[in-house]
Amino acid sequence: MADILVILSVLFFAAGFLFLFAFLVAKILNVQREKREADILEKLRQWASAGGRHGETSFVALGKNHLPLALRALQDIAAAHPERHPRGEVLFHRLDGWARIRALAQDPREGKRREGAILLGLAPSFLRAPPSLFPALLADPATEVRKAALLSLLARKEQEGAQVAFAALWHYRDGELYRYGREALRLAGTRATGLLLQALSAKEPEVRWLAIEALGDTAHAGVLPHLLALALFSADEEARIRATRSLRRYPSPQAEEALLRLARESRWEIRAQAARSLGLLGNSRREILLTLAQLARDDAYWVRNNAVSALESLGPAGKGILESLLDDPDPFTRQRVAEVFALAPGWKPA
Amino acid sequence: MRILVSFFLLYFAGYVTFHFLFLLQVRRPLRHPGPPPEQPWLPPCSILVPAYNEEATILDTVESCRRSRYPLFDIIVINDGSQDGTLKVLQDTYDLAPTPRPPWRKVAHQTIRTVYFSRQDPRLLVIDKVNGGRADALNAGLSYSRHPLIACIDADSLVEPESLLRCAAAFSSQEVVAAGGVVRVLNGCKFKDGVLQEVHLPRSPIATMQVIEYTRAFFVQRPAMARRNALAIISGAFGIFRREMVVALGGFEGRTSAEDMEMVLRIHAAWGKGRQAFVPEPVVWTEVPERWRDLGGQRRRWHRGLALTLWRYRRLLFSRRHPWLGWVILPYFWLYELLEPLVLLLGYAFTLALFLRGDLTAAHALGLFFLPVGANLLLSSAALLLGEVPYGRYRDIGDVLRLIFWTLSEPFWYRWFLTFWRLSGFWSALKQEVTWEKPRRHRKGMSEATSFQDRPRPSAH
Repeated sequence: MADILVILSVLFFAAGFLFLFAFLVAKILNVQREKREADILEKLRQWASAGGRHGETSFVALGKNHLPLALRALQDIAAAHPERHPRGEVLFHRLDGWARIRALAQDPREGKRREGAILLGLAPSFLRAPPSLFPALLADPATEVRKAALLSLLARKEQEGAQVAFAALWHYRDGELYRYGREALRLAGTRATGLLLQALSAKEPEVRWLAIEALGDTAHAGVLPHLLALALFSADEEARIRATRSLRRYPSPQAEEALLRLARESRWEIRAQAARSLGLLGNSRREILLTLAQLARDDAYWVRNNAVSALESLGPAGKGILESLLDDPDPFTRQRVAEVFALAPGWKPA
Repeated sequence: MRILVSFFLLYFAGYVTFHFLFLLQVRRPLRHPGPPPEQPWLPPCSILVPAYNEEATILDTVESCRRSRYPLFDIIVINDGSQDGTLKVLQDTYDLAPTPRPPWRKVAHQTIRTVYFSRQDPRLLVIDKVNGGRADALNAGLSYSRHPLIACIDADSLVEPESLLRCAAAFSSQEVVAAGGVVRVLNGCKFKDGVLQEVHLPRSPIATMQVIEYTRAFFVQRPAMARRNALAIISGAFGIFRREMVVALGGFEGRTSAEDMEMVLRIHAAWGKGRQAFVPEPVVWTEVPERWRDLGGQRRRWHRGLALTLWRYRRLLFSRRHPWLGWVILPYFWLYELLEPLVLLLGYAFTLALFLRGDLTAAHALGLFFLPVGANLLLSSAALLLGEVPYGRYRDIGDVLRLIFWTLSEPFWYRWFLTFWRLSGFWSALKQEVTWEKPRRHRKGMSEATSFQDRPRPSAH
């Protein structure tokens, strides 16, 4: 028994010491690697920005062995020249950038495909990605790969891919990626409208709501009738709130009329969204001003709050109404208005 | 004698098995994942900073929050009846003015004296309220938060600019209802205006020992628990929750003095669905006690809170609805967090007594003494390897060598003090047992904040 205890103790101590030694070695190696990578990145940046054959040859020679660092160096150029940079293009092609990313994207191992998706986001934005790359990665069965691809897509702001992204999300019913999806749809713009209108009848409420918000983002005139119908007549209250919110991107008499009607709704959330949307539409005609003045005295604080913010965003006409509200009998309204003026530069209390 | 030795060996074997299980669950990259990308679609977040007598640290904390790289957030500082100049320094620095803003949701908390907004930064709201404890202050903040996420942060902590972004990224999944991040030790680091300039190991051995403890907790236990959706605690120094869920559960509960663990177990017990995530990289830097007295007080309080919370949620133990939590994590907490000091002390006392009576040989006694010491060393070194290599912030090799030295020394001195304080905390929890189940129908001075819908608009006349 004593022997077993001693042997076990010795074993634990030996393993503990071994781990501590491994920790020390790993730490030293990590610190050295970080320094080495910082040096390499610095050199690549210098060679990428400086002209000349020598710089180009050196960049390619070193960059081929350190592709992520080379892409980061090229990103600096891309940040300064987002549209086009012939030298950056040459450097990227000499690195065989697309071929290497494609090879990773087609690798059977998930980790490698994810690496390919990340590198795709690092590739200089002045070069369009080959058409097959994003669709392949966005339709990947592994969530992590799709997520990395979506992030890369958003970093590169590629419209074609954005449309594919939503199709992939739709296909996978991927709850985790819906928020990314909305951003992708914003990029896709009007191209995604057909898919979004189809999504309005989805079974999952999250998909329907995402579609309403994304339709709002498209600001496409053809979408307005759908949003108006949703805001005014939908049985789904959450959908009504979101549609009312989305109307702020559609400056038109129809949207204004609908919002004036929604400002009289019984649900305070709808009134609050209607107030803000009326402000953001920017029309300061008398009827709108009067409605907002009325909403500024609403029972619900957030309706009053949004109405005051709306009046503030309507410029001088709105400010005139706000000044009259400084004497409002409701202290909440008075102080909310005072807050607006206090935050305005140069305003001094009377 | 044999029975006793067998019991201790069995207990110890359980300890090793649990930690082996934890280590098996941990998945770590060998390299740091790099800075997070911009994610403008993340849900807006209200940062709640409860502050009680934090005059010396509050400005750095608020500054660090203001520098967060996050799409949309506001900061709600709750001055929980401080007797020092906490409110004054905030007023002087951020040009505060009273605002009539009513609460957004109905959560019970102590009376609020005044709510201030900042003329300098519209994202900042300061609530001045009657003292009611940390949980009560969080509830006041919760009432006024209007974003779907709330991040709870201690008033003596510094948030890194990307911490919120990384941690809240977990909420892009609809399933996630709460997420916690890594808390690291601020002592020894250099910082200015809420920004960390240099990271170093603390000079004080007590603070250094806490670095090792935090590494063990945050890089082995919690990631392992989270991987199986069995997180039993999200540190009070940094945790993000879905606001509506916390409101639906009635807000934070301060009676156990461990509101962080209590909330997490309550979510498991009441919610039953949803995932609680742990994100290893978001870092909040917090000051740890450097004086024996302060550390003792903190550990007594923690252990008391642990005991009360585990007792309150004893129904989760061996629960079929929560296989990992009920069958692995909570038994571990009961046996090796709560009862460990008692068993350890009794074990060593028996070993010594049996050795003195001549029932144990010197080899036996030494074996029994060094076995837990060796296991502790193994666990600490594994935690350093798993946590400090990919996510480590100590770049100075001198710091690394000191960390190794103090890791080796831990079982010989620090652990004994911890055992004593934890026993004392356990005792204080036992004494309070009779009051646990007493219904508290009404608290004097407690106001039930009304939500804005309920608040009547004053008459025009």
